[in-house]
Amino acid sequence: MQNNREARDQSTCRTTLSHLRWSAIVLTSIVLTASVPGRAEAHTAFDSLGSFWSGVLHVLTAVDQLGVLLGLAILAGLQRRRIDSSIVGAILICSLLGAGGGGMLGLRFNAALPLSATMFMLGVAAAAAVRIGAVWLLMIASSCGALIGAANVVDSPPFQLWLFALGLSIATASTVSYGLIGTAHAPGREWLSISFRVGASWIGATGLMVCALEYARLARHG
Amino acid sequence: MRLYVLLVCLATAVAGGAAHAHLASDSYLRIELGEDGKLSGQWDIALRDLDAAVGLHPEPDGQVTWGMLKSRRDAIEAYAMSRLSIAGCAPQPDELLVDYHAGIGYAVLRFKAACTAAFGLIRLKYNLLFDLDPSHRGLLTLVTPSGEQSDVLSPEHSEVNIGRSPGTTTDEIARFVGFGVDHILVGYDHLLFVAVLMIVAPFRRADGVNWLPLDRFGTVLIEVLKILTAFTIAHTVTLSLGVLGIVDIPSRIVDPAVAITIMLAAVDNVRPILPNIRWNVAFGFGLVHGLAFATALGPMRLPPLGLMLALGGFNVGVEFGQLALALLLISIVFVVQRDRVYLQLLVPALSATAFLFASFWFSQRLGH
Repeated sequence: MQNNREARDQSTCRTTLSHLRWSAIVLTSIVLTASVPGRAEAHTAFDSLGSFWSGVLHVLTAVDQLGVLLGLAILAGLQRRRIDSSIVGAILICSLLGAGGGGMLGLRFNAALPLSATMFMLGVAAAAAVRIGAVWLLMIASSCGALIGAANVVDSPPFQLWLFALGLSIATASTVSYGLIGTAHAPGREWLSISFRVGASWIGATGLMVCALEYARLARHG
Repeated sequence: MRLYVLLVCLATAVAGGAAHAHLASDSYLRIELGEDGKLSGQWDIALRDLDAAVGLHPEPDGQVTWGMLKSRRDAIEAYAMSRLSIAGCAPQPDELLVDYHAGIGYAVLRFKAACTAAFGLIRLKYNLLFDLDPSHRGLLTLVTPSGEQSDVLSPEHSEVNIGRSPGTTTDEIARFVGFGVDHILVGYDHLLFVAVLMIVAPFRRADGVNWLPLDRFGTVLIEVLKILTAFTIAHTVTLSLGVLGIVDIPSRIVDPAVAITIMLAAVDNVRPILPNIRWNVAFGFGLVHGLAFATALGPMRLPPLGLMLALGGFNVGVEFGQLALALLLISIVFVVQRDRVYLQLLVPALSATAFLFASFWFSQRLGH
């Protein structure tokens, strides 16, 4: 009896440490890679659709941002305790503030490296079906939202910044929501969980590849 | 309650920059080319667009008098002609008139030219307002001895060959589909109406008062499709009647009515005042929105076949635009629908924000 309890305590302790380690790794990666300076690139091809839709399309046409959002959705969808609405709320508000606030502060940075690093970390974590506590998951979702918001600031039109931010945040939250709806039936079906984890591993692999290429480019050009 | 007020204030502040419903900016360019190489054209440019480009110095209430327009004639003609180049021809301004399309004032520039370039090799480049408003579109009608064709000019497609055999019908339809999409995407009042309907789309009114969540995402998608299809059918009916000139209601009545539809739908989200079946509501209000869309195609004066293609393409484009917004919002609403906070706090807060915007537009449009 005593041995069983000790074993259970040890297992709980290991799981908690694992939560902390993974969450800390993902969060630290987002912060560290976001602080790497780089070349900011602007593209204004969507301006003719108006600020709102320009914001929407900036997220929906960026593979690295979609990768981060789907990786996050799979990771959240594989957790025992679902906090879907909180994740969607957090990512909506943080991406709105990231784009709007970043635009007001004149934030400019190259997001390719932090986004691909985040994509890699989330992809690996989701592929390994790592269990993460609700608070940590919310923190990761908030960081991803803020990162995606800030990553697109460089392309925001000079006028109607908040309308651009609104479109961007709705597209961000919508993508995660589709991911969460897709993974809603995963817990009960083994084959579905496995296919989502395989998908997450592809996200992780793509993230690693882009991250390595971007790092090499930065190292070459200083 | 405090949180509710805070949310309304926050949402209003965030979207404050968009408080003016962006009215689509279109100009209508009709060019007729004779076999003798003589070219005549008419260009209808909205007075509000000209004011933004050259400054018409309107009255404080926004009115532009004929005297003001006449005093700025040289500037208007110089600006417009610098934004239209027709290779092989040198268009010269002829007359300046005024016309109204759905109650909106347009300056009508007539011009003439004698073309030296060979028929079929005359290239037209349109560049009006693209630097000020990338969502501006030029609706071109070309009348040549070989027939009549229409085109939608945008920053991405600003050049056409006059007199060359017209593009295929598919190309023409595709351009009007694109025009429909563009038109709805910058028509924030129409989009807000769709968004207000989407706020409660994953629910049904079981007892006529309270919202009950729908369980399956597929069911919600079918409901959304029903609502949007009813809306599209309704606005197709009134749009067609408006473009054909059977119904002609000025925009000073239609535009405030569009704002009222948003206000009513927003109130209905919180307190039932409309029929319980949502697609009935969408159909009824779609009739009003269709009259507002009619301003887009009416002044093109297309022949019956061209008009049919333009109308069909335009309607499909509008449907695509609405569907894009609905698909964007519905997943978010479906995920959060089971959270009590959504029904108790967010539905009233979002509906109240939409109501505030619509009432602002209503008062603004009533003033005009």
